[in-house]
Amino acid sequence: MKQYNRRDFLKYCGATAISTITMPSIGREKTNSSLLQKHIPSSRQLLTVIGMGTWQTFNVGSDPKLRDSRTAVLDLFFELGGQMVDSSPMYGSSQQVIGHGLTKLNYPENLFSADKIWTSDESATMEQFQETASAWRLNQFDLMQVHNLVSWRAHLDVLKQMKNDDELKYIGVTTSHGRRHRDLEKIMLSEPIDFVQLTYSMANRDVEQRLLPIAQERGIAVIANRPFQGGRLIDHLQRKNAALPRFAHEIQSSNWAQYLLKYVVSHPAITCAIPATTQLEHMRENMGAARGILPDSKMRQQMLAYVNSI
Amino acid sequence: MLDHWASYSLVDFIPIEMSVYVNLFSRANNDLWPWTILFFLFGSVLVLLVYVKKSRYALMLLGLAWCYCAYLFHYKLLGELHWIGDILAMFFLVQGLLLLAASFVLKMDLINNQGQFRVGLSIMLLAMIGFVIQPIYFDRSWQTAEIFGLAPNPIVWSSIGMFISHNIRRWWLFVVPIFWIVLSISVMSASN
Repeated sequence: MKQYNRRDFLKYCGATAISTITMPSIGREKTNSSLLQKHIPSSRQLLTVIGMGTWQTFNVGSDPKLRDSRTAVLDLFFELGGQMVDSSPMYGSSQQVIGHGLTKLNYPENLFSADKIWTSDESATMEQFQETASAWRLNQFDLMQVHNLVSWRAHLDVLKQMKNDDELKYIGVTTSHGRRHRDLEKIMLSEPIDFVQLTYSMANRDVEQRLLPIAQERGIAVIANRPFQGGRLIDHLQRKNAALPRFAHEIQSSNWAQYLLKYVVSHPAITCAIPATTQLEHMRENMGAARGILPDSKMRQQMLAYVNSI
Repeated sequence: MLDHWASYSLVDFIPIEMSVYVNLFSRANNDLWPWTILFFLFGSVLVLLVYVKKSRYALMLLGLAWCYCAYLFHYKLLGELHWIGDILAMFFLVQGLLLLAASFVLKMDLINNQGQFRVGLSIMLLAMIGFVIQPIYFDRSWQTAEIFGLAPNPIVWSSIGMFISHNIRRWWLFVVPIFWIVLSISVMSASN
């Protein structure tokens, strides 16, 4: 029988307390490894709580130097336990750049591919899906979402069919910048979707009122985009020369990125957050938020109050 | 404090990082090197043509520069990053064709106002040199210099300079340059 020392015991107690207090059944984190993961409610598949967005950051065209630098960012992401990479046809050349990077990295096993359908042409779902697959150089995606609810009825019908035919694992819809929340709510209440993607950060908490509770009730995984408010939240804190509060070490946050991300992914309804970066150092900081422990609800309030006071 | 950060600006909706956009100048310059120098010389020739009042040739050269910039910068480079590149390419091409047409059909007034002529010429000179040495001010690589014929700004501002120097007041020649200036200023101010 394995002998437990004091550290193991405390770790176990802490993990149990966190999963009991802050994680209701659908969002329970995996606590038997140091990597923080949460279940996708519809399948119980585990997903690392920090993923990667590609808005702006991966749109570098065919420039070989910039492509290589983005490949290095992807490489580090996977090395540190990252899974979800999210993109969209709206992001210019990002899909091609991801495809280039993944090919160079030989398609890491832990990749969770997420992309979107973004066209007002209701008959073009399959055509755009194939273009996206060709850009990623993939045959199958884990998750396909309807971007910003554009022509969502028609696209979602096709995606549902694809899921039934086992051509997709998960389907979902997305919004960003706090737009079209009423429509999103209706879809969440009426459609059999696995994921929603929405904007959630310390600076934008509107979704706490209606959408996140609905996601929990309906067993829908939630991807939080813009966790740093497009980088401006961190820029502001750094410009103010704001020091991390003493209690940050209790949740093992050693920088502002980790502090802000841990706040986002510790909400019981949030499955993962997808910060975007072009820099290796920032990727290391972001992925640090997928390690250690998550704050409980009391700590979350304390974290918010501190940032509000700056 | 946090409510303030819930607002959004124009830059949140542009899918290109500013550094990647600036890098397009470097790509345009490197792709053509060493012919890049030739484009700088074309710009110098343009200023000279305006100075010696060879207006039709100057308009012709300007028109060609707009067309080439439409292809290289907007269609080939920017278009790869954003669909707006294709639209801007079309605008720049139309402007180039208008200038080429104007070089044949426009009746040039005699230049009476020397002050206005000098102001226009100064704007042209600034456009040719200012955008080339701009990387020094912004502490960027010299490879990101904006050169006449390859990058939009020197062409737009030298066109404005030429219109002022020759008192050209046809509204249809101002639409695209003004649109570009408004667009650039909006994006720049949103980024800062």
